[in-house]
Amino acid sequence: MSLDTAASTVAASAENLVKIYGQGPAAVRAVDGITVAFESGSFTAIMGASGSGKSTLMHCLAALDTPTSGRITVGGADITGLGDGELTRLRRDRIGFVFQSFNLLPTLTARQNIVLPLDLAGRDVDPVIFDALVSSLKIGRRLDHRPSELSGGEQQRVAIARALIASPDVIFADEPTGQLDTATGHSLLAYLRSCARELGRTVVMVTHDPIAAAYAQRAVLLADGRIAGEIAAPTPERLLGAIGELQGATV
Amino acid sequence: MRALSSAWAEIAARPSRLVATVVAVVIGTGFACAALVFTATFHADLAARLSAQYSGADLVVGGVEEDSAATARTLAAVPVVADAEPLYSSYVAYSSNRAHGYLSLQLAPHDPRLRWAPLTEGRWPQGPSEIAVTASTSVAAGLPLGGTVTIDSPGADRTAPTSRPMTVVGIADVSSSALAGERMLAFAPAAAFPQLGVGYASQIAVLAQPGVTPSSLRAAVAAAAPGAPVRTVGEQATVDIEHYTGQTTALTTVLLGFAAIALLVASLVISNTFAILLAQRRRQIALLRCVGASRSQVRRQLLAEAGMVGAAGAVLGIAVGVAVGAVAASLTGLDSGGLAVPPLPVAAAGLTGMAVTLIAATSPLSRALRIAPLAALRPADFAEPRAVRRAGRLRVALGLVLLSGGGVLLGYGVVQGAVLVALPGGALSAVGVLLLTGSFLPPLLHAAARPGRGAGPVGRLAAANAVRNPRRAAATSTALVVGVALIVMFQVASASVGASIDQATADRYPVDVVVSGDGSALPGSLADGVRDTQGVSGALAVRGTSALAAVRAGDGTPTGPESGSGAGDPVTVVAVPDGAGQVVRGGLAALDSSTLSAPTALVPSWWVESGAVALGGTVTLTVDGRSQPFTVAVGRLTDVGVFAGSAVVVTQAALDRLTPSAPAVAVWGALAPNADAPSVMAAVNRLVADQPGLQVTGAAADRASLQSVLGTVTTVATGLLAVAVVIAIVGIGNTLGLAVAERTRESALLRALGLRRGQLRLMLALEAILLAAVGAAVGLLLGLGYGWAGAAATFTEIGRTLVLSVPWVRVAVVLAIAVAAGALASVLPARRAARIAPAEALAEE
Repeated sequence: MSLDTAASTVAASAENLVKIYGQGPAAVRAVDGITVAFESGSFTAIMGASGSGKSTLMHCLAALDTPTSGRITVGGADITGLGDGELTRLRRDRIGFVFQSFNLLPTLTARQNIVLPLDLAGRDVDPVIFDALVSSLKIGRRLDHRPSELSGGEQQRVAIARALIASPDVIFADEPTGQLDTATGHSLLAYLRSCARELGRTVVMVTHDPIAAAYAQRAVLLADGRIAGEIAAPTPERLLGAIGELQGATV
Repeated sequence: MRALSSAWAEIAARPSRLVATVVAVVIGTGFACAALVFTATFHADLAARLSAQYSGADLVVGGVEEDSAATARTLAAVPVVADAEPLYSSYVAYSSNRAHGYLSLQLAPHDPRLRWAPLTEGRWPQGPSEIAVTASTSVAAGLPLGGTVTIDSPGADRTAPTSRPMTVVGIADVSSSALAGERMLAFAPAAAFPQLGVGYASQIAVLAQPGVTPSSLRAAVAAAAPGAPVRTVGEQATVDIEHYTGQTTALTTVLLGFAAIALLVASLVISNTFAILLAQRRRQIALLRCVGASRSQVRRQLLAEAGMVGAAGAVLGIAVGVAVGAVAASLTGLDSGGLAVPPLPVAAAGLTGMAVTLIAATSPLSRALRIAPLAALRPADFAEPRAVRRAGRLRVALGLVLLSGGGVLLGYGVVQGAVLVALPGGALSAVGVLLLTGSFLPPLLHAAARPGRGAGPVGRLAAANAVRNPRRAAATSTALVVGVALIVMFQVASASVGASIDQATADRYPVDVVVSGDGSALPGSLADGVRDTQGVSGALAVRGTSALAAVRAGDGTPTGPESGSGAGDPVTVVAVPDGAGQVVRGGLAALDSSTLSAPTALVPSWWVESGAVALGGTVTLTVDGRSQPFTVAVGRLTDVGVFAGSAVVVTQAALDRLTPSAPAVAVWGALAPNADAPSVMAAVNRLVADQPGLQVTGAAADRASLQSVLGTVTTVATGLLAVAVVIAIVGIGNTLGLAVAERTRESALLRALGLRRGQLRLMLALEAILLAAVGAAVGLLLGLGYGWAGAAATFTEIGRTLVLSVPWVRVAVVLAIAVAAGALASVLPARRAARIAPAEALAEE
């Protein structure tokens, strides 16, 4: 089967994923049957308006939340029925995170924040990888500062370094440039793209910003908890047009 | 290792958040250490005092049955012995021209090495009529250098006169301590004791010749005094102190009980603090979980934080406790044995403080561990996990079970008078109440906050803020509930005990103040003197005379009702004075005066009980050859007063017939309703100070001594419990401080919108007052309930009636102090809040 032979190149996937919040009449179907796969080395953007379920989808894919029904795989392994301890280890060793804000622990220095996943795993830092990351992200001078002493852009770069330090299977980024000015945001996105293209990392980015999404190789559009469309090699104009259609459809 | 370093990083980031927790641990641990150091020093002081007499000796020989002087001479004759002296120590009566009473008379040793008390004036007594006194004795007994005092040894064989006048030739400086007793102490040379009829000394001090080895000394002494225990100073001290060890152990136990209460309250504060801090760090903890920290890794870090705080508090607490214990011991004059710090118990106290911290942190810790990683991304809309809600329901259920079960036991114990049932019942129900505070305190806080809503914008804000986090507010108030409840419980229990025993005493002694002697005439002015004393509402002179009482034995011959001798028994006949109804409690009805008509005499109840004479029978009283028959009756009045021989009460007319001009032999006085018994007793005692042989008894005497004992115990206990209240207040200040840190943007917004600094401070003060007031009020109710229950159970068990007495004034003072302290606790956080700049409200997150 195509899915089996392609298993080695699928970094993460969801199959008929359903996630319901709340109970009874107040129940919300945040994700209503999504099947999607992310190839190794790809940079995918998940787009949608607020309430489209994009964040929920990412949470389930990233082992932060458990689906109501359906199947999730990360790095080829089925993680659907795993317990909290196993999911935790998964997040530590195989998944990297970058959030919109509050990425770093305020009491640790940048260096300590970066190596935190390795520290938790009890593994040693490979100085070659560390130096390469730090220099490519241009944060070498700021390593011994606390997050409160770093600019927003520097904080996000430290977060990306942390996300990459353990060489994870997939990196999930949730609106990573939301708090940044345009120039900083662009350089960050460019870095993410080079991670995918040149280093072979898999990046899944949730965003509502079409310009940010245009940096990805593929954009998946969500509406009302379902996939509403896919655009390969997206441009801002095509994305804007697609979103407009979606909104027009719902109006 | 990682857990420790990140725990340290967390603590070092903002150490001020944990100050209050450390303070709570320090106070609790310090209290326990102070108690241990104080009692150990007390014990050492006691040992030093007990062994002072023989501290200079090389060996102590004890258990000598016969003439100690002779044994001492035998021992002194042994070649290797330089000197052997009998360590006389006897309780004697003294009388100077200023005071009379009792003192302890010890040997003034001949050998300087045995003189343990340093002389400050004069010299050591040498002749049998010379005496040295301690400085405090000199003051209290009015015996300056060169003064004379008459020493009388009671209990000695009265065939030989034993009172001796002696001259004070030296004054010694011996630190006196109220706790260690022995305030009155004097020294006399060996020759004085046999002349006082004292031949027995419990120990003989033996001094060795220079160059004699201890073993040869011991062998020689043992040979010279076969069968007698021969010990070194250390061994003897150990034997002597053993007698008192039970008391010092009891003291340690009681003090440690109070320390345990302080630690309990501290644990409440610690638990609440950690709960607040961890709630504030939710996002951070969630982020850690997000990035891959397992639950046990997070738990290790949080435990390391709690452990570091506990360790710091414990170490500081030990230092503070040792210092406080040392100061307390020296203030009470217990330092003759030096400062004693028992290392193992003190270390155990420190470990306990640390353990309490860890245990108190367990519950907030487990709540924090349940934070889902997702909370890092969406902290706002995260409902409490089901597990936490379930734990809450469990807590309520357990609390209800304990409260009802414990309440049933307590009720049974109170009604049936079984303290052993009531005590655990009370404890269980108290735990139940504590578990339920989270449920009933928030509604109370809401109700108490309601008046604030009408009190202007500041009041409204304060009211809303105080109840916005009900569980946290309840936890903060609970500590104060515990402290106040315990204090009130103690006050109510001791006041009730005092009032009840007062009542029983009054029932037993119909007269408040009785001045009486051996039946000889009293000075005429004494009755007036007593009447004029502050607090005395009336006093009467009671006339009487000595007489011989005889009853008819079974065979018709006259016999004394007590001794059975044919000559009759000496008694003191007194007559109920006119107007006695004013000074006898219960009025004339108490005198059974309806039975006291002219031919009736009230005789001691044991005459009738022993069968010597029957009620309604006849007793003949003879004065100076004149005899009169009287009908026997029994009443409460005959068992009052101290006379030589028993007292028989007749009417005034009957006494006049027996002896026309009987002098006053006693004075009866009544206390005014609100008189202070101890001070009246002291004043009357001063009146009779220069009359040896006169004693002051009566209901007031008993009440005075009881009141002073109860007063001391209550004051000390309240002081010790106040420590717990202090910890609770620290907790209130702490909660406010953390809340202020949490509400920085809010406070900045308020300031930006126009709230003045002073108003912000007032708002926080009102919040604190609300928490303190509700806590104190609930504590008051609980204290009243448990105090009454405890006193009732005890009194029913011992078969006496309980008079419930609530010292309202003291209780009100406790409440007022608690509320004021709460307001005071808000000062520091309020200052911090007032310093926030309004522009911070506009800052981005």
